[in-house]
Amino acid sequence: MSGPLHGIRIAEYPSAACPLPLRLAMSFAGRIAAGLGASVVKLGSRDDDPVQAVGPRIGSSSALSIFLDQGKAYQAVGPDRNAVSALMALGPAPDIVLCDAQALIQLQSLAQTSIRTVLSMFPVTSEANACAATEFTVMALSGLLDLVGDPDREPLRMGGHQLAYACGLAAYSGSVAALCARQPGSAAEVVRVTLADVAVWLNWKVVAMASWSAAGRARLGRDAEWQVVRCADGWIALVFLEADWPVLRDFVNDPRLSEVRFNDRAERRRDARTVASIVEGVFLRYTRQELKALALAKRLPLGPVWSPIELEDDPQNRARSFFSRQPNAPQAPLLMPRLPVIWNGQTFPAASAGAPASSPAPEPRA
Amino acid sequence: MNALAGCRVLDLGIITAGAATAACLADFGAEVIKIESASYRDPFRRWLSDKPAGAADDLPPFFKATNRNKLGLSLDLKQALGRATFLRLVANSDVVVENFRRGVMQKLGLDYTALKAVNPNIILASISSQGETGPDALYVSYGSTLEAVAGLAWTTGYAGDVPAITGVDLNYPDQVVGLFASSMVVTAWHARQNGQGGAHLDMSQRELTSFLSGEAFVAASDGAAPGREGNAQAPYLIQACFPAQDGTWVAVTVEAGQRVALAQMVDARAPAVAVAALEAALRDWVASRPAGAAVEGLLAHDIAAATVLSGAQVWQQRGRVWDQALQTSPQGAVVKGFPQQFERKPMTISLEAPSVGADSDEVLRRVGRLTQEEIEALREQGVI
Repeated sequence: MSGPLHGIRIAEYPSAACPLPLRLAMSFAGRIAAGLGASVVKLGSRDDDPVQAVGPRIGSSSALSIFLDQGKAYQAVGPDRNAVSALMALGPAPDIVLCDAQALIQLQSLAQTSIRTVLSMFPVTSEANACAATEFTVMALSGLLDLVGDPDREPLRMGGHQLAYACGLAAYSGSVAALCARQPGSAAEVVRVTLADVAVWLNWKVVAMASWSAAGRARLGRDAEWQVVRCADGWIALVFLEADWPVLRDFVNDPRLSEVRFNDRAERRRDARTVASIVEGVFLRYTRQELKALALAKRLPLGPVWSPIELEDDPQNRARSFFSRQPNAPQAPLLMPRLPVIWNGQTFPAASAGAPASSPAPEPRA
Repeated sequence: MNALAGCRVLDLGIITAGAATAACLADFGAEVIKIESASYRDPFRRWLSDKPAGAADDLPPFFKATNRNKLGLSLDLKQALGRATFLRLVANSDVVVENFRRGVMQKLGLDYTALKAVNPNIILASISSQGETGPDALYVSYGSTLEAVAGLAWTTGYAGDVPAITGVDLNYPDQVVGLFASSMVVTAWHARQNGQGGAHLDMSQRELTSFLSGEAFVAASDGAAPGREGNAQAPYLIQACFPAQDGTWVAVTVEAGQRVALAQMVDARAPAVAVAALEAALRDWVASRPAGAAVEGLLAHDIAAATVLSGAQVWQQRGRVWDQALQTSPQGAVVKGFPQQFERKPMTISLEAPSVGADSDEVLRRVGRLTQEEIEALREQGVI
């Protein structure tokens, strides 16, 4: 099996002025497509690709590029800066071009059968497009920054490039949907994806609640119903719903949690700091592995906090061959996740440039 | 939008992960039939906190928001007749979406093998916490559990401080999986249209959450130690939130090439001043003026800045900063909108979320090809 997108040709074409989050989003969309067997080219020069320079650096590249550009090739644009010529030099017009609004202007002479997936920071008609913006400031404008952190400290972003990658998922999804809708002889779709809309789409519950004037609950820190607490060798996410409470309470076995008031979720939320503190006092006697075993046995949704490097040897990841090591001579091979889908028993491990790969899924463990 | 025209989806998805996946498919033009029963309803129907006055008890707003553009079928899969009826529906459908606890579909006798036996081209989207296989396949989780076990919490938090999770109001992995899972179904539909047959898509939310931090694994294996760095982030010179004079937080990103301009703006003594001193000067500069003025001043120097908005303030920006993410249903409810949009054939919200079994008879007749007598028999036996 060469992948469900075998035969599909995709180009990533960010303009020189394309903001970093949109480049990352395009690259993430292209990464998924390449993993599923599409032929993906990045239009432009590797040396001019700003993502190559974003730390942390690994050799002459960046961890970001190494992750995002698996299975892709660069295609230079000639001195005439004619992107369409560069694309046509590769053969028939691509099925999908991922681009930003400025790059779209350069694609006017491209065949109308090519789907254009156009990424922007804000909706096309928004005046906000005239202003400088980043993934971080769009998170601020979407309310996503107002959710994580302590009430008396600065609002926090999530780790990594979550918003850019979510935008990449929306771009991938819209692109393949447009591929399904494409009719022979008809002009293909133009797909519009904005970082701001993806951010609000992710944060829909809080924004929708606000639309009917329900009170928001911003950055509660130690007063949050769900929070991270300490355990013997690190941290664990204290996560539970109503049905989980009696099981958690009984395991903790502290008489203070048996007070009648804590049978009421509203009261537990009001005094979440006390609840978490009592639970933490007990969890400090257990390691993450012990608490994981407890969570499995009692069906509690507790989350041991693992570091990225610890996850390579995680039994679940091992059993499902989620990570592989990529050559990185002369240094140690690099850890790389495969696509997060097993398709009819086939996995899609990271591939070298231009050579998408698939392999049988591992046998389930007894 | 007609990308999935002719595609029929049986939606067993619940709460956010499964139900939102099917909602995305409905938006792409699929006919989506949400299947619940008298004995098992989507728990989102009981999410009654934070609901506006007057909302119906079985249609609270989060349920309505996630299940618009769907039909409703009541069918008790715990009964043999219900399962047999489900398989008749599968025979005339294209996709099944489920995010039950692992093992439930097998116990019901409705695993991929059973579905494939009645429809070789069926696409089964199995969305789970940890995947179909492996020693932790039965691990129970909600979104923030996954942030912890997948490595995301490790890189979220104040610099040098404890890891952090997004919590109950966002549950980030539960939101983002709808984008990924629906995209895989659309890919499978495209492949099927091109002769590749049906597919079983085994999608682990934990793996997706790790994949969304992919570069952290690459960096860690090269000896870097990805950890919590607050809001700072490469390649930016400064990225942080600063409190303005009016108490509002202002998010600012300063690029390396803006060092001189920033120094001049905040009146730092020299552009060569250390970054920490420049950041302190910027903090003072923001603190000495209202948030609006601070943002305006920074943007005038082409420095990215925005006030940190609450949910209510984000809502007020509808049509200005965003315009697709939330939509209004035909009856005026605020519902989930679209993470992307199409210029030629835009997506729309045309159906309200259904009450349990709102379309049972019609669906059973048209899709299951049941006679009226068979439908009445199901009703008498409490199957529908």
